[in-house]
Amino acid sequence: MARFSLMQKTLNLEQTDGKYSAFAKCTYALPIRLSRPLAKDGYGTVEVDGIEISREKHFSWTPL
Amino acid sequence: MDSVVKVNCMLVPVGEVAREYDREYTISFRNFKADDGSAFRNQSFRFRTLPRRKKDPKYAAHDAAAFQAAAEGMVLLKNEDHLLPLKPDTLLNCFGAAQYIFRNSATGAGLINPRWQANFHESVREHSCFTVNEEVSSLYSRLKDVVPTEAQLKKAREKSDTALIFLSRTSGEFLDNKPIKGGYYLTDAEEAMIAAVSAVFDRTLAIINTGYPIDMRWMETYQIKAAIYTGFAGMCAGYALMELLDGRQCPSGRLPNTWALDYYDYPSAHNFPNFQEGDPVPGEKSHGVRIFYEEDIYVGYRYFDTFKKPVQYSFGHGLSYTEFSWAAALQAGVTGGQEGTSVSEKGVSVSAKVRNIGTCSGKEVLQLYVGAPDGKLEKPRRVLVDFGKTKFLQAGEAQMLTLKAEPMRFASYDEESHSYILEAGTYTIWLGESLAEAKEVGEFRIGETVTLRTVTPVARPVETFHRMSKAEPFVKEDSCIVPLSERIPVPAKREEFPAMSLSGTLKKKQKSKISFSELKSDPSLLDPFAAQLSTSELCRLNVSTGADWYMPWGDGTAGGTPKISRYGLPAIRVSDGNTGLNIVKPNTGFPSSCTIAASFNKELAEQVGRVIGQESKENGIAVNLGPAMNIQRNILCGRHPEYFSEDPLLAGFMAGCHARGLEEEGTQSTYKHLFCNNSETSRKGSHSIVSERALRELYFRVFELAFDVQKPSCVMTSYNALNGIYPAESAEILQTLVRGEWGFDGLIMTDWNSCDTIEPVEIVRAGTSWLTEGGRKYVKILKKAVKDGRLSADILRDNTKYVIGMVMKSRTK
Repeated sequence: MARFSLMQKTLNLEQTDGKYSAFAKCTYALPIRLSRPLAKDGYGTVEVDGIEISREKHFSWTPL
Repeated sequence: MDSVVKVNCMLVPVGEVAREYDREYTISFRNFKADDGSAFRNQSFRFRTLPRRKKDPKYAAHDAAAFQAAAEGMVLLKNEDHLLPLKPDTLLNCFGAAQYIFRNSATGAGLINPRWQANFHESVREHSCFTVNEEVSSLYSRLKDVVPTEAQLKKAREKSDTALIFLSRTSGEFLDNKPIKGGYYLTDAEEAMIAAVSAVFDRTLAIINTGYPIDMRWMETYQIKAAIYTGFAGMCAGYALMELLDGRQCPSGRLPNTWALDYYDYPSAHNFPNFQEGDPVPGEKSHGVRIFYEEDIYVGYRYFDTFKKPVQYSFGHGLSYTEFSWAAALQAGVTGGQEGTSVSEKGVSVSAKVRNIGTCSGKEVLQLYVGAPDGKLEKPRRVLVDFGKTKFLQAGEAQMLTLKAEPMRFASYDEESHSYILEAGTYTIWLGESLAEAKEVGEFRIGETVTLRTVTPVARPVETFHRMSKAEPFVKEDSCIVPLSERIPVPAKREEFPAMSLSGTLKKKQKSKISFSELKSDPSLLDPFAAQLSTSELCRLNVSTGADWYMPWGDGTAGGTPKISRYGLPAIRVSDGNTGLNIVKPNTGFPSSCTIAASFNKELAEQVGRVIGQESKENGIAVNLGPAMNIQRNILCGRHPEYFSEDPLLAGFMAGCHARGLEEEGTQSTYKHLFCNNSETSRKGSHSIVSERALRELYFRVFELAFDVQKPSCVMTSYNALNGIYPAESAEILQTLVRGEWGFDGLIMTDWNSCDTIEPVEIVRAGTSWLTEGGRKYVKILKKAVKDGRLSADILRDNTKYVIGMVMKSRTK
């Protein structure tokens, strides 16, 4: 079964963008690795402390 | 979510919810599906927000420099009815998600890792007497632009008549920005929010927190009275903004680039990879982009000014809270006429007495322009030839500023004679607070055309293309994506430059071993020291060791040189950091270079370099991979905030001063990227096709001017090809121009991972000393090339001498 893993376990609120996130246009973000590529319509739900976070700002990519 | 297929990483904007420092949160994933139809396991993880960083009194002087750079780099774009400064006790109604996404740096190499910083709301609380209407701000706490209801607006208006609208855009390495809503243009939500707010508040101020110029026509549409362009102003951006808003600081920044009425007014707009939303971005290892620099010499204000195109804000524009008057006297003009006269020693000199005639203290910037007459060559209407900034002048106080320009600063490059020339005719001199406000202060005549310098032509285009001119003030081509194999249309010219040792064969065997410490005490031993190195050692030294920025346990450095124990040769580390060390350990974060350029303050640029130099040494960094100083050819280039200006003189001087600060503190500077790294899209497969004149007057010129201020220890080649060849593999560019004409005697390195698209052996053969980010793979390739006879050990050894030179110059412990 495919799995997620956190690429970092801390979030620096003093850095709006990360080193590689210009191409993501995504602020205050955590990078997540997926053990298998995501299906085109395979996006599910992400919640932080039970609050669903907006999907349109998520960004997916293949590693550099 | 973007429709990218086969991805296996996601960036999830958890900051929408995780807004508190030093707290643990839970992130949960449910109902995801993989590309093979299988389900992802539903999983939850804990993550933690870091504690807020605190100021360190030890670095108070560095903080002060960062604050000054931020305060002087922000630009007051508009201030009708003296809306600014605000009364200190004003209640601020803040609209826009960007109030919570207040950006202070570019991304990629331009990222800072500040020792401390304050976002907008923290800055209001900690560094001003303002208060924020929390009820309004709470509308945006989920980082979404929402349109307030009439009732919400009415309630807010009853509390305060002042509204702030926030707009922010990220920018940096890896991706160009787009001429789309949410990029150059406002999103529908942003525009609807501005329309609603401006209909209720007549005292509305816009805070533009972007890395590049954006569409500003809405300022007129909705009659917004004031706007401040913050750029990416570093770790003190919030505090500096507070002091500008309440008048403790008087704005003195000036735009280092032109803000057009519309993106497509820029002459390079069609010759730029303008991908729209949803367009597949070509892979840089499989595709290239051919970009014809059709606008030629007409970049930035050189285009708008010459062809009289209206703009939103002209080059050099910026307002103040006070007023200045100035009276100029032309001290000396060029009076030459015969070739060989002393014209090159004279140039132009203008002195102006600047007086503060307003009511508060402030600084003034004066810009000197010269317009050359059309002749054999057509000319831009005006070019910047010098600039200066006063100290803080109290009300009524005056200061004399003297601006000077040697003739090379207003010379033109003649492709036919390969010469920089001053053509016969009348030259006009302008002086003013900005290009738009500059006034004629004099003129001089040159009787006959004067040749200032003749050079060996390099990097000439290998194909013909349309070039914008006064007769044809338009472009014909669009940039186009092509398979990588078709990107460069003719065989590279490197065959014309057979591999040769740069200093001849060295005697390999020495009587006794020379140690690195002996070499340091006697640099004349460099040749014999290099001669004793084995082929394997030479290959290792020609290749950077791996970067430490990918791994969580790394220090964030970009690489370094290997230690060669048997000679006592130490390893050194290098780091990104145009405006602050891009390493894991926090340090001083300065504004992006474009914002520093907006200060028009050379001493400030040097001070920035000085602080970064000191902190580099402190952190064991021998070489700083900056400053980046490519011309801002197109405003949507991802690295726009990292570059200084659209003008070569402003960019070259500010970058040179920055480098001088670094070098004087014992940290080696790196001028980058040689040449024409003007877009990020498929950047390793991008091919810039540029006329020789545009190269000489703009794209080479910026580096040449910086060299005049400070010779750097290192230069870095660009990812892109230029006129049929990658600069890293062009002996013509590197040896004839950079080492020959400019007298550069430092290290030439590639940009990181350039070998993804460039043949490593050819790079070494051309005299590029350091392959980055290298690693064992490239050491093996070079060793095999030596074994196969494709690469001379002499060339490796010559290149290695520059690497050893870099290690010798290291002041780190």
